[in-house]
Amino acid sequence: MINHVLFYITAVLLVLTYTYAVIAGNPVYSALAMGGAFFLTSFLFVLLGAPFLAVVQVIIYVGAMLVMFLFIIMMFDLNRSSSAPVKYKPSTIFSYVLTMIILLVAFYMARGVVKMPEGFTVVGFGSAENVGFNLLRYYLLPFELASFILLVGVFGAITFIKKRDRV
Amino acid sequence: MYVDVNYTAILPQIIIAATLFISAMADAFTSTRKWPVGMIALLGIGAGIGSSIYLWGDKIISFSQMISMDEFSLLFFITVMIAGFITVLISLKYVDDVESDAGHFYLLLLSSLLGMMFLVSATNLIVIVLGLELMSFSIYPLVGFTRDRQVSLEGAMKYLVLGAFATAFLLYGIALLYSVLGTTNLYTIAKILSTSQNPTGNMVMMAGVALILIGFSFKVALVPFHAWTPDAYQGAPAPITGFMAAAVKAASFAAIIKVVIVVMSSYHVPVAEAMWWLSAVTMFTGNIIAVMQKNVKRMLAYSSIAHAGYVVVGLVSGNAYGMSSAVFYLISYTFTITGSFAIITYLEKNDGTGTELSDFSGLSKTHPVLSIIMAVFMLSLAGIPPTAGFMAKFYVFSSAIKSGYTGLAIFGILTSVISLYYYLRIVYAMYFEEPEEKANMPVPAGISAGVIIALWGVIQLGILPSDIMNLAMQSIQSLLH
Repeated sequence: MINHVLFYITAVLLVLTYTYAVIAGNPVYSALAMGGAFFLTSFLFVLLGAPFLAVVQVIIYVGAMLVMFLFIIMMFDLNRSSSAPVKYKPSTIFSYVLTMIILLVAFYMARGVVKMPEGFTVVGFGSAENVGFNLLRYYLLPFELASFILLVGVFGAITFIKKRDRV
Repeated sequence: MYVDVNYTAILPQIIIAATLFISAMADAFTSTRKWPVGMIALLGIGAGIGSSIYLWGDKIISFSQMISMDEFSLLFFITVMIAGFITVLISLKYVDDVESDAGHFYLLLLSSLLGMMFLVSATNLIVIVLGLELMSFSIYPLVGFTRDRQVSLEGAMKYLVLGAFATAFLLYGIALLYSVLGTTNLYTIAKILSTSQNPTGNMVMMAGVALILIGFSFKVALVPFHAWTPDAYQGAPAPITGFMAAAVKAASFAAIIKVVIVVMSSYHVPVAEAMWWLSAVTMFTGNIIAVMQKNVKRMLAYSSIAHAGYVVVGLVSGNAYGMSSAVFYLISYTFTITGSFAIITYLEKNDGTGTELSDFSGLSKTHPVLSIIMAVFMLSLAGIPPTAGFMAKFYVFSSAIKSGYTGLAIFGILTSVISLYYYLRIVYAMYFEEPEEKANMPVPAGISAGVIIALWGVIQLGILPSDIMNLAMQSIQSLLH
């Protein structure tokens, strides 16, 4: 019961923080709101009984990505250029309303259909031991494949930032 | 503790990955001219094609049912690797001309090939996502490779943003599917669906399937998910445009055939109606907008959208013959479009101009052989015998008629009559218009070789299509069992 109450509080806060991240005029506020949302997401993982994922979420998203975002924002000095209040066109508002209607319909249809898959109810499902065991045994190939994606990220960065001397 | 590892199951992938690392080392130890790196890439891709032919007929499922090496995977390995081979061949001179010290061009090409190969051989949705991402992340920088040109960067940016959007759709669909079925393993999903009484009654699952279909539709550029295509195709360097139209499309279609058609449609999940509309709208829109284009790269971008529509015609019926015809279509399109873009690569100048329709004026006077070959490619794209394009369209439409989709087949034939107009305009420009200037530079050896391979494929598939069609049939059969 307490889990349910905590979940709904977190979920509402999560939607509010992300909404603020989208509509905030100042990019620094947007980034900070996103950091708050990352924290709340990690709390959702805690509620689901996945402490390892929660810690990873905080370390990687808040510790690394958010800081990187802030650095980039400060480097480009976006503050001045985009401080004007955002104007909403009727078409934008219409698309927001449409999205909300679709989400409500989807929620209405999904009542009672979605249930937790079997695996989630196993004790220790999200523990570090279990994650490591699954990652290096059943998910060995996807794990290795992910390293290739990181490698390609480096290649891509080289493509755009490499200095050159004209031939 | 036992871990299910069988390296034979990923032998072609290992060869390409090894080539990637060897090329990276070669890149570090060569001068600013990077054609030796390209040569190593060529050797590696050749070895990959050889190993795929050698493994033909085996079926190995390994890595905890993450990967299946069967005829379906191998046929698509060979298709994308031929596209990669031709692309490297035609880029050998181009890359050194537009950018100095640019070995990463070949590295990105190889890693995108690697991603495609994991994408087509995956039997788990997680591997499909990772393969798709590896492929896409390698293509984004390649589109913006000529970074001095505004259009190139614009195309890369649009492709990146919409590609991320498509991945979000795909992931959300997979999450919904997982929430209902509790697994991402395609074999298990097929088993659950075959025993379930009423799989379509579950709206969440249907939404998941729809989102997955939308995610893939972005990648193969079906209307209305095609908005990125013209800008990305026009902005990309010409060899990469050909590679995207051929290999990226083929690999993404392989994933559609595997996930949406075989796993879902065989078990009475109604995707046929959605496919019907997607293909009709795609064929119509692609061909109509292509008529108005003045730039040949942009014209072929819209034509590639239309061709994706023709492939879907084969998938609508959802039976083995229809899917085989779609596979045949993808192979024939691979040869035709890489060949066309080999010639466009030759015509494209270093600053990205030279691909307007007027640049083809009087090409027959300066390059008679090249003009005849370009005309053959254009006739193949339009679907005129005795070329590969005709046989491909013939198989696709006959599969639709056999399954009772006569209306769609007639609509497809009508749209390909429209397409005749803009393909023949290129031929008209080459033969009946006067050249503006007489610039007669020699055709590089790499481009000649690439054009000859593509021409051989177009003629071979046009005159003796049954061999390749049998291979396509075998590959689909290996998927169904």
